[in-house]
Amino acid sequence: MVGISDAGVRQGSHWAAAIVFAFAFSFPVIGSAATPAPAEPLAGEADPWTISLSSQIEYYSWTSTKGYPATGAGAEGSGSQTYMPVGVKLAGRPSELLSLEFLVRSAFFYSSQETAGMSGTARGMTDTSLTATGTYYGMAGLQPFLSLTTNLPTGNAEQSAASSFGKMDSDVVDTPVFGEGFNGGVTLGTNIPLTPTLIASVGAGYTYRGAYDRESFAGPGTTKIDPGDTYSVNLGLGFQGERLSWQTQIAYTGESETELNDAPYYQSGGSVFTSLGLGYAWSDEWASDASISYTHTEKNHVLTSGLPPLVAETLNSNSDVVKLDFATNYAGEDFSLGPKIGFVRRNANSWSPTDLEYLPAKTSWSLGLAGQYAVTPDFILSADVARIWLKENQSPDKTLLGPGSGIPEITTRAWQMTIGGSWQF
Amino acid sequence: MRIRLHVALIALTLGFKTIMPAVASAGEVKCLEGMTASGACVDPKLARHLRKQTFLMTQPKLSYTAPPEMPGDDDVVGPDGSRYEILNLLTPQTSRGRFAAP
Repeated sequence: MVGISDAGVRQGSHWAAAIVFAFAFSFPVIGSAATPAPAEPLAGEADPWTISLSSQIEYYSWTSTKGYPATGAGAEGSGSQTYMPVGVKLAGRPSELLSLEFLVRSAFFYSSQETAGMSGTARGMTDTSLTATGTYYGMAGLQPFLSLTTNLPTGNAEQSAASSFGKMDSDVVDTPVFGEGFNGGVTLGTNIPLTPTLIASVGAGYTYRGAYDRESFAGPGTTKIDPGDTYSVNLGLGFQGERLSWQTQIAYTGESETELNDAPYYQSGGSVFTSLGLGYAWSDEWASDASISYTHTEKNHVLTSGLPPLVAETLNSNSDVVKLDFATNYAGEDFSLGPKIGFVRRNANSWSPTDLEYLPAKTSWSLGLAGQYAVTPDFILSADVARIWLKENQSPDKTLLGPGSGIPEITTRAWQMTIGGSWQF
Repeated sequence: MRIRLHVALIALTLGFKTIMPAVASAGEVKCLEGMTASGACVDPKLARHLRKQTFLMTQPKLSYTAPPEMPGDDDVVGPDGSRYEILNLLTPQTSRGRFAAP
């Protein structure tokens, strides 16, 4: 684990502390929560088997002082991505003691970048996930569940040299790649209700990630990637009152070795993720939601001079990440509308700015408007639009490569628009 | 062909829906999402949220393109994607990432 003396860790911790401090003073009335009274009935007729269908069109458009991926000599760039996911969920209660839920999700995409020397377009279908979850209600004070899930490789992980430039910055678009291999996961967890409105949760999961081929990193041919499997544990706690609700969680994820062309390449360090979400209904019409999260990843294990075995790297290549989101909205009889704001901060990793491994700090702000309209109680339309501002700090010239190897500060401006609908029948 | 696959998935689900009424549902249940140790019914919305949160947090790298949740159903705050993995393994062809070894 990275020591507390690492500069990157200290910086991340200060950011987290500062935001938590500011956050605390932005909610002076949260302590005045009223008596819990959930809107949804606690008991009654179990839903018959219901189908939910949900889809949306997400559109991203960006311009930047560097194309993606950024290089020192890289030109200004721009691009756009349209992503249209479709999900179908079947849920039912075959007996009083058991509920079942089945989910299928896939998507279509069109992604195009226009940057001198790095222009290309990719389009098609992404991978498809299939998930089944069963929950058992036969024990008072414990509601265990088991989920089985897969990622089917219906997308195309192997792009052509040109279409690979349709891949974009994951800080700008939701979908940085278009496919991977067959993955399969299992999660066993349980809710532990302490009171009717205060529930703890605990769970553990394992994800097998299968090998797949992608386009070669340079030149013709392909490169085989066998990504590391992951194992995760999660602890959560949530409260739902009449006006106030909150959820908090902490999760740890470890990962096995990743191989390139059947040879060890690296092993990601363990990652700790924690978050706090708050919701408050100021009145019958006005409500606000906010969340803050923090991610820290330990040092990776890497090759030494290009040779195995993998050993812990000297300094941490991973950045700490702080995310903050806030939204407030006005709800009428059949609609809601309100502004939202988001903030993401990655600190610089622990390497010296003149090292090849250095990754500078990156900051993102977003400001937008989100709304929903209920055509009928079972047919809901939603839309949101946001403007995004990103800045990645300068990465100076590298000692090993000499003058011209650095990357100047990168500024990116983006629009994100989403229109969607969900139906239950 | 891919559009056909999408249509087939939806048709399969709809077909299942027509069959399911033959399978009895639970009907009246005492508590929709179970009970506390003292026998009180738990809040259904909160129970479903925590179950979903636990599931998503224990499958953080199942899928980059098709995360196992409904589109737009993004009420769970999740971890940031692995930046190191994206920059070193998943970028376009020009680059293997800016700080990768070997």
